[in-house]
Amino acid sequence: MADGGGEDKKMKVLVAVEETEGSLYALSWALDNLFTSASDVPDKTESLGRLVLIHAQQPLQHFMHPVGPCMTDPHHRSFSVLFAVYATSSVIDSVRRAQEQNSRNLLERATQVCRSKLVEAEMVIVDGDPKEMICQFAEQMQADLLVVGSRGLSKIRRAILGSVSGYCAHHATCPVLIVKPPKGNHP
Amino acid sequence: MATEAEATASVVGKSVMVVGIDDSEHSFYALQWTLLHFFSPAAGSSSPFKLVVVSAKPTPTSVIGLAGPGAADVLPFVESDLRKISLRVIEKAKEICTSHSVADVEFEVVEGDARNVLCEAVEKHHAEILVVGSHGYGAIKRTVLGSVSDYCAHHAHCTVMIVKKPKPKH
Repeated sequence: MADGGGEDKKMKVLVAVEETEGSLYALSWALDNLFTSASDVPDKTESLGRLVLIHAQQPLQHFMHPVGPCMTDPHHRSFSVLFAVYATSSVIDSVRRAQEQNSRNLLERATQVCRSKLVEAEMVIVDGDPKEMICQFAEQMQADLLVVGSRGLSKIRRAILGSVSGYCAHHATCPVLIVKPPKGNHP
Repeated sequence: MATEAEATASVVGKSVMVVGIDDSEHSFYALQWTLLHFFSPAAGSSSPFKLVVVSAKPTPTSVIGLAGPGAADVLPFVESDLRKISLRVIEKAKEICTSHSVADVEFEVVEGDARNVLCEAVEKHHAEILVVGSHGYGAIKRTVLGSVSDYCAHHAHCTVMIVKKPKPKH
């Protein structure tokens, strides 16, 4: 099964990056353990494979729900009905721009982490439901390994909020590595 | 900085990787995949992990299930059968390791439910990472039979790697 010596070790690793602490910890864990080499080469990925960082953005809702009663007319205080407000396009644009800025900052931080460990990484941003997009992308790029962080949620919270790591563990076609936060953070 | 850290790591000992195996193709595939990617000969002796292979041997009572008349008679046969199976599993694992020229391996057979055995092994060896195969059950089978990889992913106190055998594409 093992044909060449060094070539087989080259791995295409896809790391899912989110805004959680667990995710950045997962990234640095993966860098420490998967991309170690005896010598300090300027770019470890050269000899050890590709590292791709993926960040999934939630799709924008095109209308916004007000949290409390929407009082468009102060004289009609009796109206306490919630109704959806269609957002104007300028609002959508600014929200989208804020979201993009957010993702960019996140990926910047992630690349910093990579660079500090001498690993060059590629960045990808996708739109859509994180769980599905990450698994789809892993399949598309034929990743050898998918790395996700884990928030360490309890059973109930996991059932309600949904678990990206759980979904990926079941549906990804490639091996999945789930990195847990260090022991100090157990709820 | 980096070299200092590496030096202390070699003094303290390598981080431990526990691989759970059972009598299925999926777990042997997981073991081979792990050896291929983490212990290739190119890395040589500087591979950062120490490998511990753990095989869970189910208790005879759990296999028989409900006790019925004559269960006590069957017990010794089931016990010896299970022992034979687990020995065979370890033998095969040893073969796989030597074929990948990995010598620094520990093998363990622990009796009990696979889920608990693996999580306890992680605690005992202070493992950095636990590797399990996955039977690839669908949602229904998983609810009925229970998924070891699922349990470990949520309950082990370390990083968990779930290796799947790729489905043959038709």
